[in-house]
Amino acid sequence: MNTPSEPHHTSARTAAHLTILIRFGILLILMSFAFRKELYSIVALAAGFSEWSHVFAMPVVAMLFVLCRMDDIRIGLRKGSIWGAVLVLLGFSIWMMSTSLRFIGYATLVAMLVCFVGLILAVAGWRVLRICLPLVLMLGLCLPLGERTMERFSIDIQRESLRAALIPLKLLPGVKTRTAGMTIAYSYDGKEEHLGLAEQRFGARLWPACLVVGLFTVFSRRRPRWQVVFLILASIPIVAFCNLMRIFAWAVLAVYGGFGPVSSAPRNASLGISLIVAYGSFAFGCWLLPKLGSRIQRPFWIEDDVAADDGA
Amino acid sequence: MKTSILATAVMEYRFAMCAVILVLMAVGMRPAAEAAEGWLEKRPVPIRRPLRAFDRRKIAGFRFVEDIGDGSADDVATEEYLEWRLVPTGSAFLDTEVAYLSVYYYTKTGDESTLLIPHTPEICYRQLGNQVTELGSMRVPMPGGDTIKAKYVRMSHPTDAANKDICVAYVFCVNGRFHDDREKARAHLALPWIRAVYFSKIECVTRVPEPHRLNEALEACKQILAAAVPELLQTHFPTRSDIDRARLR
Repeated sequence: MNTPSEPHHTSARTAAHLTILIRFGILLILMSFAFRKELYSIVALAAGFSEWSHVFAMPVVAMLFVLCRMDDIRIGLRKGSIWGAVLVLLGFSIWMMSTSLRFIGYATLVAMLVCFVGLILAVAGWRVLRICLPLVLMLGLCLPLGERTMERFSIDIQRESLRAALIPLKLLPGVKTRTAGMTIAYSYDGKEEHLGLAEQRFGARLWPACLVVGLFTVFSRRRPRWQVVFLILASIPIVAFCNLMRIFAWAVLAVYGGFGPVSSAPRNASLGISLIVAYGSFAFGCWLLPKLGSRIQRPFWIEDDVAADDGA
Repeated sequence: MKTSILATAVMEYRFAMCAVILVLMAVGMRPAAEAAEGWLEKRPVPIRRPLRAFDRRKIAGFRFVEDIGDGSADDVATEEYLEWRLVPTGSAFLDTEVAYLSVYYYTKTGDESTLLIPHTPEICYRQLGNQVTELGSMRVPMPGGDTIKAKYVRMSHPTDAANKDICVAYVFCVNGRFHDDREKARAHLALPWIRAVYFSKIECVTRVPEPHRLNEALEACKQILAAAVPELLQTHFPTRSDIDRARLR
């Protein structure tokens, strides 16, 4: 039964939430203006390299994430922390140091992320920041790493992925495949062609996008800690599997689809397929773990015993 | 008295502090960075002896064949450079067939306040269609028993037979200190207390005769670097006192 004071409380709470939203909006606009050049550089790079194209989906993903966790965020809302302002200052210092010394360009992007964390903290407090940490990680995966760094970290993974991709590719009828440097050479119908001839990191790409998909799928609702830990551990094999699926789909489309060696169609299609596989794998994990969890918490024989008792 | 939601939103000290910092950042951070750049401006250190005067007989085990660098000053963004084609003279590296030695010297010129390292092989060779297949580092022996660390990049070209399997080894020298990595060299160049700077990239390229014979290509690169680097330090690159003089100028 409603008490007379309830509507008043509800409207006061709504007003408080609206106030926080206005504060966050104003600060976000100011931050975007301050870091306009960095934002422009990210967008320009994402427009040129398909590996970073998930940047364009990020605003929608971020809004969806906030909507999915809205109840938790509402409950977690507290007064902001003064440490938020300290973090914004820290972001500013990182930016200044990186820009004036021209040391590492990536640090200017990290400075932006530090400021964003500071905003959440200053406006909504520690609890909301904890809920939004996956969002911060997703945004972190949208900061493009340098070419050399990407190359250094992925060179061995590229080589091993290409070797692993050869195993299913050898099963394709009428196709002979082998690795040729960092590409896959195949002969089909009397012609020899190369896969990923002009591609950067053909053997290992799109892992930031797959991880964003994974983070969103896992953290878009509240889960027990053990499930989160399990899914985080599983993310590495899942991303590796998606990478293999991408190479395999690319090869199948290029060989049987009749696309030329420089056509972008197999690349774009395999990109979409690997993201769908990533979503499917993480979603499957999220569906499976609670079922396994309930089995672990209440072993199956107890269920049988209860049924037997009922029958008796 | 009732206040509006907007007024309530703005009248909160944590929000106000963040807003003030962000407004200051939006307005002042770029002019402040420019001012700091001016304050941290580097000074040029001229080369002691031009690279064109590099002694061609100094690369033991290899013979100078051709200067291939004429007219590429705009591409490499410096006037001080050499690009040579070499062939092995002894029996040790006969399968290498051909090797290339490149040295580029950079110091502050013109209006730019600091030095930026332009290219490294793993990026610029890619423009020619090469693909990086292996990255690693190696130790190059120096006179007196010391060693320096150099980076090597193995690259392949899927269609070009001449570049089918090549090995590029390079090292950076910043004010006489060697770095095998671009980022480390950049960090050294960025140190605010180092006011007079120069840097050089010393690079050599050889062919890998067969897929399993990378070591031979690396040995050839090692021998070229081991011969070139001491000569560059002794004869061409500025000494400590040259750098100090440039700093006080």
